[in-house]
Amino acid sequence: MKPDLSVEIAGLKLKNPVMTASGTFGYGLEYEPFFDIGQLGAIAVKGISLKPRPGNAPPRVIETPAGMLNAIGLQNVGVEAFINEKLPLLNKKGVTVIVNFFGNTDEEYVQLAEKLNGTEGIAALEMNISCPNVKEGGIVFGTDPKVAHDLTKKIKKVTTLPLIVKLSPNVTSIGEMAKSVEDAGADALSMINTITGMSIDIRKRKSKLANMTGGLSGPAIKPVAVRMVWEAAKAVKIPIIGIGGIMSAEDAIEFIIAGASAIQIGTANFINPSIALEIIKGIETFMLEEKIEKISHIIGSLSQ
Amino acid sequence: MMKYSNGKGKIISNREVAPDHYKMEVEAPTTFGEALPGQFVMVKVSDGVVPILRRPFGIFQTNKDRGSFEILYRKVGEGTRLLADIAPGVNLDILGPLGTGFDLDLSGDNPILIAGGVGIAPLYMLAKELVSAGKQVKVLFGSRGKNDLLVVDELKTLGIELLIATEDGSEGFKGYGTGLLEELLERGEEISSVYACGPEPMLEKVDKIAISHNLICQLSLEAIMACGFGVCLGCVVKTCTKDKDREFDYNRVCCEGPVFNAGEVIWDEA
Repeated sequence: MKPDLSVEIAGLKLKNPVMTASGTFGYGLEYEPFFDIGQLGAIAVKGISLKPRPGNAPPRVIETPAGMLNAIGLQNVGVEAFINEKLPLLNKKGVTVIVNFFGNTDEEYVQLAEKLNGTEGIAALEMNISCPNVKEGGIVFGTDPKVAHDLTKKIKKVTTLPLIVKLSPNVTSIGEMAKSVEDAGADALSMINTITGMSIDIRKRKSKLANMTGGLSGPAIKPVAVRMVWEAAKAVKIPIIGIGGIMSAEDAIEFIIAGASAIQIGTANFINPSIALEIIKGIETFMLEEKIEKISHIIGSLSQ
Repeated sequence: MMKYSNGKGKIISNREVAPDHYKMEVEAPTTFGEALPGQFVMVKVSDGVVPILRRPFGIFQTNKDRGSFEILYRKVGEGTRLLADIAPGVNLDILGPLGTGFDLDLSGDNPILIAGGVGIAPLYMLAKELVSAGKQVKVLFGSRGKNDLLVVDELKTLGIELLIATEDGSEGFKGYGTGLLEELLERGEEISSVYACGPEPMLEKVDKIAISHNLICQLSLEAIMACGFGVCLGCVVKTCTKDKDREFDYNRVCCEGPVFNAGEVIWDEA
């Protein structure tokens, strides 16, 4: 019997729990040469802002042990170009589109949510309150539970789309943050965003990134991410999308057992552009081996 | 849609051709037969997650008869150290060919190719194609010293004019390759175009020379990149913009590049 990989998140029915993480999958079309992106559970597109953003000065990426630091600076085409040029092409592929968005002020977030809410072809919104690279914004919203709560509340008022709030790991208590966002009406959480990090060229005594600090991603952060998903899952009832260094089906299943209803693949897309498809197949194989009929049966199934 | 492969290629050979410089031949999927001069390949140098990212290498040449391609690389860091140790017969994870290569239509009859060190790699393939298109090709090859010169014998068999510059003067012109270029210009030699690949200071210098002499010129850049196919936005370089609302654009070395026209790149004042 073919195992059932379908999951439901905030009213969204997904054919499988495998999504691609914002910032690592462009607007989806870049992956067309590699596989049919319609096979994915969903894709979270590159974070969108009201106006196009040029991003940070290079160097923007640097490799670290089992990971990488990035300080792209949220370079994106802006909401108008996204809606007019990218979204119609994505919709033609029959892929479930989650739009990641961010602003520098409450008003920008609200305006974006209103704009996206009125647009056809979007399945859900993923609100980035945690990008560590933009000085005026991200970090503040994502590190104070009260601020995150109030912002989530405002966004919920202006959109009928399912709202996923993407959490920053750079906080003292992830459980408290998760709870405060749930209380404000978030439909789901995605976590974790990158961990703020730094790497120094000791000969030049300079940071290897022009932005000084960057976001750490890749397998190096996976144990932190699994622990945070597990803690958040204990604190909230809303579904969680697990993110952080997933390179294989085994990694994905680890997150699901910790309490994630779905997962997102990030850095691994850069290294093997067909990895998402391989992970979907790997999860299916695991389910056959373990005689698991429905993937939803093992969500949060960690033994006490 | 772009045509590129993401798969395995068996290593046919991997040998040191000069101190710390290696040439590797890899059996490859058919898309590599269509690789253009200046395009590159992303190579996974280890099976594990350290180092995690692929490494970009300019394609040195393709061998359509053998269904293979070659890269030329210098052992500089962790990735290339690991690569140098991989034995023939091993299947290598390769992704490519990627990027926008050199525009051969710009060459005119008397193109000059100027290389610094391992930057000779993509220019070798370019020289070969320009020669077969009937062009009078000059290659200016600059290196630190005589021992750092690469693939000189292969270059000589192409039917090009090879001019060598070494920083220590151990062979050819004493100084940089760009010094040689300036000398040719002073002598009023016929130059229809310039193609360059090498370290950034060299490219910046070639760019300046090309602009001041009104030469058609293309430069192949290097950058740290995570993906190589346009999604990570990690490899951008500052370029001039046509948009009145902006001072500059960030273009991706992996997609819009690695080859840029002279005058396009805005060099950072270091």
